Amino acid sequence: MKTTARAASFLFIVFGLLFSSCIKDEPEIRSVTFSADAEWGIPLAQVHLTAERVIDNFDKEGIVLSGEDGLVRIVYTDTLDPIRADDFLVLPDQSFDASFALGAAAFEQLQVEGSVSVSETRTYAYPAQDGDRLDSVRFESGIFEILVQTAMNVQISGTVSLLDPETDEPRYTYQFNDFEPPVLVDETASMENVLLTFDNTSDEENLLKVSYDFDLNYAGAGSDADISIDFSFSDLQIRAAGGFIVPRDLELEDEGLFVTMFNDLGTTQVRIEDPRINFYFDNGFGIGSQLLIDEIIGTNAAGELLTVPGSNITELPVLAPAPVPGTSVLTQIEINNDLMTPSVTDFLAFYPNFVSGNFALRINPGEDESSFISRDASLRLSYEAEIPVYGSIADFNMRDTADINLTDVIEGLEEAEPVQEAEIRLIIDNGLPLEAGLQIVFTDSLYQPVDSLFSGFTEVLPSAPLELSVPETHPHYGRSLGTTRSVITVTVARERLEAMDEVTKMIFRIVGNTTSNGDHPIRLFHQDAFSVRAAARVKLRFDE
Amino acid sequence: MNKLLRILLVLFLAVAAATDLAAQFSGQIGAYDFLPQRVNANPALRPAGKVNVGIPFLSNVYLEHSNNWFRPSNFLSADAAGVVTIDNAAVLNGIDREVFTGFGTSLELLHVGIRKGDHYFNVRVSERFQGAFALPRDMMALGLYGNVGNNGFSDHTADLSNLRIDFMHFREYALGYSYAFSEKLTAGITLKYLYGMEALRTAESSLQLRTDPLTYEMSTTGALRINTSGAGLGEEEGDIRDDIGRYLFGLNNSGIGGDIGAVYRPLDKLTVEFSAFDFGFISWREDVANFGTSNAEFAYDGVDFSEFVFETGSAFDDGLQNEIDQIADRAEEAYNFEASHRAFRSAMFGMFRYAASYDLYETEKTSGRLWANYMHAVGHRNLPGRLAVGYSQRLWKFFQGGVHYSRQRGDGGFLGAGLTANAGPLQVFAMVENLNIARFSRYTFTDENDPDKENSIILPRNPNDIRIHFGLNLTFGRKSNDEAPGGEPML
Repeated sequence: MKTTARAASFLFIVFGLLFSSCIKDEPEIRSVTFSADAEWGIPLAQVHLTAERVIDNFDKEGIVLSGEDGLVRIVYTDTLDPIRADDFLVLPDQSFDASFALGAAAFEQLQVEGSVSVSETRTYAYPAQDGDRLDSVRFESGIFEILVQTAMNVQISGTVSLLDPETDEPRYTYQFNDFEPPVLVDETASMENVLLTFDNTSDEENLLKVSYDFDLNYAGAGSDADISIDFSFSDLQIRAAGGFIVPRDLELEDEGLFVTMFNDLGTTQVRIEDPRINFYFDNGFGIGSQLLIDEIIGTNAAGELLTVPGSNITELPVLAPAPVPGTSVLTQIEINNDLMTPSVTDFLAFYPNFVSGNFALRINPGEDESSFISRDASLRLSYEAEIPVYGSIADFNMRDTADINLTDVIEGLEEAEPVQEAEIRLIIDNGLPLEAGLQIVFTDSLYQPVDSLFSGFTEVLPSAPLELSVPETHPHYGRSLGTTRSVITVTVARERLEAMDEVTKMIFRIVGNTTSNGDHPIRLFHQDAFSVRAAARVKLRFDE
Repeated sequence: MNKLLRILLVLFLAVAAATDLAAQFSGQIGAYDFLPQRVNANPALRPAGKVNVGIPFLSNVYLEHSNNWFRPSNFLSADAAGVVTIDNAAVLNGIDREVFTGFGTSLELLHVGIRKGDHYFNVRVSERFQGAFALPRDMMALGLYGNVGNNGFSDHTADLSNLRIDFMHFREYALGYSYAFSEKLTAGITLKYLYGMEALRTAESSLQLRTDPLTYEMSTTGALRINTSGAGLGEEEGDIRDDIGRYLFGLNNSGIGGDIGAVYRPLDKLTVEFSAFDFGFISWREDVANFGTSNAEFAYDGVDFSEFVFETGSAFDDGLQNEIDQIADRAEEAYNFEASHRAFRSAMFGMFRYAASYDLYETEKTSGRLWANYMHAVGHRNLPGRLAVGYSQRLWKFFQGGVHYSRQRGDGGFLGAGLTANAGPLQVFAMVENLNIARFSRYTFTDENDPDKENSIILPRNPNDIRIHFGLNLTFGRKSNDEAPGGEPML
């Protein structure tokens, strides 16, 4: 009984526990608050630039190259007008007269038999403009004019042939006739693609052998008279010619080249080690030539001139001729510091932003007896100032002012209530042998300072480590050996940015130089690069 | 208390101190002699009734919710003015590696059990819903503190590998059989056919997000793959629920499962048992969609201006747009947002259960027992096991009730209770694992600007572990303990 009562009691308790419920409390909630302080970091941007690209972008006039050794070079180029055959080889207009008298016997033969033939060869000299002694000439174009006339009462037909002086093979034959006396033949023909060959002796040049062959037919009573056959060449354009080209100098027209890197140096000191002035020739003529430098003139940004006379420049070698027609020979000639006084380095230390020269081209300086030229060929010439990035820069100083409007930024900040502070982080890995500092001052419209990027002028770009353990003449002296990392953090609290609503101007100053401010030269190679990573860290506070 | 009781208590304390304790299933359902549904805990267990029929749809309703983070007393504080403050640090401090929220519902549609001599047969059909959502602790810290704040990440890396979302709706057709080999030994087995209806499974989750402390470069690694079935995302258009008949009985999502168990009485008053239940798998083939990637390797280190930094005007704009497009393409390639449609298999949440009971006393009309059991999931190390120790009291053939204390890692332990009552053949039962849910708070929200405007809601004070069973059965031929063939009904 007791046990049963206890069991029943126990079960009742269980029943009660199981099915009883109660509301233990009744909290009243008017508002729920929550706060959280979060910090979010996010990478914004990055840029990786090689030295080549940077220079190429900031100096549009120069061409950035890297040589076989990898050293970066800036090249400023000027191209001269090409020299063509017509520029120095001219056959002037020329006329040749011939008169033929029959004589009594021939005239009698004419009257009795009714016809007589005349055949005769004569030689004429055809002088070139500059005394060139030609072996052959093929014409691109020209006019051959012939005038045949006589007072005799005859009919005439015949040919005038221009012969090869050695083989008597006709090179050009013109056929004429007139069957209605009085005889008057006045005709022209094209000299296109006509090849003439000449003989040259010690006394005379460009001898042209001409053969006259004509028949006279008796046309009735009349007296004997001379027969004149005159022919002439005019408006001749040479397609190709061979022979001895008399040496001559041709003046070259140079417009000059702009060395834009010297446009606005300010107080910057620049020294270029081992620059060159290079000349490039593409000679399609079968004739040697030589560049003559009368003077090289440098003009700097201030308008001052520095002239280097040709006598201070080592004579340049003769350019090789093209071996066969249709080919050309490329030749490069460089003037380095050893070949010019002042040296090219010293010349560029004048900071000439414009370089020009008075040049001439001496044709056939070697007096080669057998040369050839052709109308399609030319001699192309260009020259350049090759400036390797091997040297030093000191005291680069740039100051500029830009307008800025932070209204949108501040308004956006006002809407972004949770933002308490922003931090901009720049991670710079500099592989260039350059260093630079920066400061930006934010001012109002009256140029009164409101804030600045840094508390003071800050070196933002420390130089990369350099190879300085080898002699200065070593090709690797002054080159970058790696990268130097700098991390720059700019923290902008909300209050700081809100105080910049009056900012309208941004004055920035950049100071730069090669390592040790130009105390020693550096070398910049094409693989040298720098990278900048920008990241932001934002502190947020959520209060709900 | 006798010597054995002291041994059991010492054993509980030792186990409690040494092991992870937790489980998401009712630990006490096997402890009730009259309850036909005790076969769910161990197929070798058999109810006192000879014939047991569950009231369709009401024979066993199981509701479950668990979470490891909602403890208002830990992170909410209120002042007299009704201003409630949420302490995020306390939210994070109150959880371990992840924020876990789980739920489950089971509705028994049919239950019939018949005993014939030493044999016991049972057939049952249940509709089951299970779901869980796990949010890695680091993900919460990321939201509260950011990726470079005071987030406590190891090696600046947010470990998101516990991000999971799982849901499954299936029907279970079970055929159970047990045989009493002797008065000491009974063994049982249940074979199940599993019919899948909807599923959302996280197949792989190992994402990590690292932020470089200097450059803030963000990189992800790892994998996240999610499989779905029945979500309307498959290759074929339309909803599987449009054809209700096919949806209820004709889907091609099939699986098999089973339970096994044994009960042994080495001593007159001592009983030990072992069971493995809820093992099985379902192959999902209908309306299947797979999302995610096995290699979410992606790094974002800022927009690279190198190619176009010197351009101006439209050339710069085009360059910037191209770069942004490339970043988006790489991200898309890494995270592989496109779906595939491959069938997948999901395993059931198998459990092992170890139990023991000791008959404290027995009279003609009453008896009392001490019992203990330990359950743990198989293959889920992150889920701790749960230990329960209880006492049940039987009164005649009409009432049986009990109280127990259960505990798992991460909670302070709960007091639970259960009761079965028989009125003739009609049986009603109710069990709750955590009596704390019976304690409620009424939260009244008042508009600050309009004090007359208020809304109320009643919620349990400690909803971290809610497991409730209740149901209605018809049981016939209930026998007393002595008359029960094939050995004592075990707890």
